[in-house]
Amino acid sequence: MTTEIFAIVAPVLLGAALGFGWARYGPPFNTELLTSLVLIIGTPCLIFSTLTKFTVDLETVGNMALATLMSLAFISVVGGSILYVTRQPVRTFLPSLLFPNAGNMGLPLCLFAFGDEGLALGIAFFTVTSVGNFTLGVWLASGDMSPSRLLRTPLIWAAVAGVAFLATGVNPPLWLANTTQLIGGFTIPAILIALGVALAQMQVKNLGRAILVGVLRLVLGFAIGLALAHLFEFDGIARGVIILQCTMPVAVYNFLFAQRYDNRPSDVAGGVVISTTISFLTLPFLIAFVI
Amino acid sequence: MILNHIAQLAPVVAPVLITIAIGYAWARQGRALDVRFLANLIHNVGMPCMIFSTLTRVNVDPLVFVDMGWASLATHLAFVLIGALVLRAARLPLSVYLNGMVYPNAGNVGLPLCFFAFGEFGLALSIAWFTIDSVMAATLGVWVASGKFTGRDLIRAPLIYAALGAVCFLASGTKPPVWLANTTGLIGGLAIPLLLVLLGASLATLRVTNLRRAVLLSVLRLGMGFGIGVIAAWLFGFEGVERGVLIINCSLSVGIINYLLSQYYNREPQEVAAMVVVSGFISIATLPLLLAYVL
Repeated sequence: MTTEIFAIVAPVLLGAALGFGWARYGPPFNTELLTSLVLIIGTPCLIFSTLTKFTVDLETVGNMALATLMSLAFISVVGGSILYVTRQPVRTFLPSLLFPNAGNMGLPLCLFAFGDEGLALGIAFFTVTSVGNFTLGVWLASGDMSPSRLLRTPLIWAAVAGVAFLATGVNPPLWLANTTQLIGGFTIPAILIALGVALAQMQVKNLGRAILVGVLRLVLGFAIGLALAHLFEFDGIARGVIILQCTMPVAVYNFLFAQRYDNRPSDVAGGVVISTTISFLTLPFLIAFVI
Repeated sequence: MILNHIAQLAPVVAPVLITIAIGYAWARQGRALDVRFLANLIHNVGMPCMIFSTLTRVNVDPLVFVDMGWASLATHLAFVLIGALVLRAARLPLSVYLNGMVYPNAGNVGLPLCFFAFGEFGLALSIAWFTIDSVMAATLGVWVASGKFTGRDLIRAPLIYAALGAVCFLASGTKPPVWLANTTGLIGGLAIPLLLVLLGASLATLRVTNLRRAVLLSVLRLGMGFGIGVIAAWLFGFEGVERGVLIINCSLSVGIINYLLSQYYNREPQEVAAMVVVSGFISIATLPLLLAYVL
C-alpha cells in the first residue's frame, strides 16, 4: 500500500522539488516562456489527445464537467459567505477558494492513481476550472469581464474539438493523434516544475490569513468532492477523480492573475504556499482514501 | 498507390514536421524563445529522464542495444573519415566543418521518427544510437572544435549517467521501482517536443551566409549519411526495425549541437548555422522519401 501510494505521489513531489531547487540554486528559470508554451501549445494538445483516446465515454465526461460546475457554484456561495462573515476581501480570496490546482498537481495524480481513464476525467475537471479561472477568476481579480478572452484561449478550442470527436465516435486521423500526443507530453512535467519554481519565489506575508484561506480551500474542496461523488453516484475512478481534483490546493493561476491585476498578490501567494505545503503532507492520506 | 504511401507516412512524419513548424512560427512571430533556458531544461532534466525511462521500460535483450551501439560507433567513424577526406580535398578547415558532417539531429528528429515508425522498440534502439552519438560529440566533437581533448563535457552530461543507470538495470535484469519509473516517464515527456520546437526556432532565426557552400555540404551530409547507413545496415546484418533505425539516424540533417559547439569555441558559427538551416530544409523534403524507403 505504502509503495503504491508513494509511486503515485512521487512524480508530483519530485517534479515540484526539482523546480524548487532550480529556482533556488539553478540558472534563471524563464517561467513566462514556459507558461506561454504550455498555455498556447501544450495544454490544448494534451486536452485533445487525452479526450480522443476514447478511454471514457461522452456521458461520463459530461457528468464530470457538470459536477465540476456544481463544485464552483457551491464554493462560490459557501466560500463567499464565509469570507464575507469573517470580513475578508471576497474579490481577493474567492478565486483562491474556487480554483484548485487541477492542472499542475491534479492531472499527474489522476494519471498515476487511475491510468489513462483517470487522466481523461481529470482533464474534464481541469478544462472546466481553467475556463472558470480565465473568465470568472479574471473578472473577480480585475473587475473586468470580457467573454472574448475566452474565445482567445486555445484550450477551449481543443476541448470543443475533442468533445466533437467523442460525440461522433470518430477517431481523429493518426497523424493528428500522434502529433497532439507528442506535443501534449511536455505539458504536465512543465507545469509541475513551474509549480516548484512558483513556490520558491512566493512569500507568505500574513500567515494567519494564509492559513485561513489555505485550510478553507482544502476542507471545503474535500467536502464538496465527497458530496458530489455521492450526488452523482460516482464510484471507482470517477469518484476518485472528483474527490482528488476538488481537494487540490490553491491554483498558482490565482496568484498570477492577482499579480497582473494588482489584487493583493502577496496575500494570494500566502494561500498558495500554505495550502500546497499542507497538501504535500496530506496527499498520501487523500490518495489512500480514493484508491 | 501514392495516397496509400501518404496515409502510411503522415502519422510518422507529421508529428515531427508540425512541431518544428510550431517552433518556426513561434520565432517568426517575434515571440522570445529563451534558447539557453530551454536547452538547459531539455539536456539536464528532460533528456536524462526520457533515456532512463525508455531504456528500462522496453523489454529487449540488452545485446540488441549493444549491437546498435557498435553500429553507431562504426557509422560515426565512417562519417569522420569520409568527411575529413572530402573537406581536406576541398581545402576547408576541419575545425569548422567536420563536426557538421558527423553529428546529425538524432536526438530531436531521429527519436520521434523512430518512435512513430517503429513504436517503443524503435525508440529504445534509436536511444542506443543517440547515446553513442552524444558521447562522440562530447569528446571527439569538442576536440575537433576546440583543439583540446578533454573528458569534461562527457562527465558533465547528465544523459550519460541516465544511460549508465539504465544499463545497470538492464544488465541485472531488474525493473526500477514504480515511483522512479513514473517520475522519469512523466518528466521525460519534456524532451522531444521542446527539442523540436527549438529546432524550428533555430531554422527561423539562424542566417544563411554562404548559400552555395552550405548547399554542397548539406547534400554531402545527407547523401553520405544515407549511403553509410545502408552499407552499415548490410554489414551488421540488420533487418526490419534495427535496419530502419540505423538508416534513419544516419540520414538526418546537420545537428544543432554542431552550431552550439562552434559558437562556444568560436569556430565561424555562422558557417555551421548555414549548414544546419539548409540541410534542415532539404531534409523536410527528403524525410518522407527516407521513411518510405525504410518502412
